[in-house]
Amino acid sequence: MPLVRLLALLALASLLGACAAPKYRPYDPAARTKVMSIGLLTPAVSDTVAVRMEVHPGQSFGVVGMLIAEGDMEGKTGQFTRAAKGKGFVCSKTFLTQLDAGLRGGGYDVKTIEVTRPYHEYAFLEQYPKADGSVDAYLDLYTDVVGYIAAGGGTPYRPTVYLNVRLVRATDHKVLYQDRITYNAFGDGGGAITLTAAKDYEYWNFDALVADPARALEGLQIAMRATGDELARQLR
Amino acid sequence: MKNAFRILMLSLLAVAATGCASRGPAAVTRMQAPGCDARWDMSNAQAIQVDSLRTVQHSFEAGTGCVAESDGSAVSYAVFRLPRYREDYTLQIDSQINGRSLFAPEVLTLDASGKVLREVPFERFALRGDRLQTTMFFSQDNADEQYLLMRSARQVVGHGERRVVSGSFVIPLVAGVLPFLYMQGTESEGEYTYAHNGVVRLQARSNSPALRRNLQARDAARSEIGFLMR
Repeated sequence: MPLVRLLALLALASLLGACAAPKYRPYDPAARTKVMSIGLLTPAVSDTVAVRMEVHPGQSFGVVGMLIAEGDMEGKTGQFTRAAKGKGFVCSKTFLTQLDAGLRGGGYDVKTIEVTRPYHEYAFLEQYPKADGSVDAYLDLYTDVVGYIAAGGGTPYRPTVYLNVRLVRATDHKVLYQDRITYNAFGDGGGAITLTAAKDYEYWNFDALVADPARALEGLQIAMRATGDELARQLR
Repeated sequence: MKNAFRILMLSLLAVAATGCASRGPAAVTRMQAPGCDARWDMSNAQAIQVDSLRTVQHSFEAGTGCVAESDGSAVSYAVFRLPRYREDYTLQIDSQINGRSLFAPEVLTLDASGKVLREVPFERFALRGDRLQTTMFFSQDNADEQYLLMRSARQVVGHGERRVVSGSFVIPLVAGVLPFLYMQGTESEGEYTYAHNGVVRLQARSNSPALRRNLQARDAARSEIGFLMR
């Protein structure tokens, strides 16, 4: 019986293992020297500023509890996003500015390239623009999360950014580098680069967070800048 | 009986909420030159093999394997023998947080005579969860690199970093006749210090696409088995 169980586990593990796609591809210094100019493709960044708990207390109470929890988090996200927009904060625009500055600081010649992405789809592009000789590589970015995330009911909300990065060679679209950079990761980050959130911008409840949106957005900008700087550091 | 169950549940909750205290050796942040080697010794180099099932592991401990610096201080070091070049490969290096201490690595590659051919500074390592990690690439151009010297990066040793570790736990409970799962998100805040001591792991992988795919599948399968057997 234990042998059957072990074989079943091995079969399952092999199936799961075979499906695993590499999430991380280190950047070879030999390829690095050949990339001097980067085409920064307009990133897939949601303009919704998320306010969520990784484990909401409501999730302990079955399906009904989960629905209540989801409703609570959606409501808070909507309220904070409206407050952010009221302050003129647009995630995608802020992010692009921070990344552009970070990459230029890293010595790259950066050209922003407009691309059309499916509405509300946050993933890498399936097809890249044809090379026109103006850049050596394309930088494809999308975010999973931009906002304030708490681990649970008794932990503070902290500014959070999860950025997924892929650098592809312009000529043949070969992936030169792929990574995930997380600011305030939940758990161990699952192999991603993990940046610790600044202590100055933690809020113990939602009321404190929305009470001063300008300061909360400052914390989010710091998170974006740190993520962009880390990306630039990886590409250097 | 009911009270005993409640006490047990509360105890479990308390343990899960507070987490376990950080254990491990203290961070060694000062080392003195007396008793240390004047130059790195390559005679006891530990061999690294490509696609080996066993990861090479090395513990940097206080008072062992150190080399004197010109200012009277010292850094810890270890030398590894690189695989003889046959095909392109990558070498992944991990330095893991141990309690409140994290070995601050920097890497040099050397030729047979000990001449430095390449440097990987501390800044090339990135923190991924509980470990600093970097990947080095080896091709025909690096065929002369025969040894890898890892030493503590003295410019960052002693520097402390804040770290927040989050997670969750689940406790199955029975209320009346209905079972339910109590879920809670947790986090703990701590600090680690870059040190001369710690544990590093090195793993060399060939760049052959087919073999690489098999190894990735093998690693994923191992990870799944570990998870299922827990």
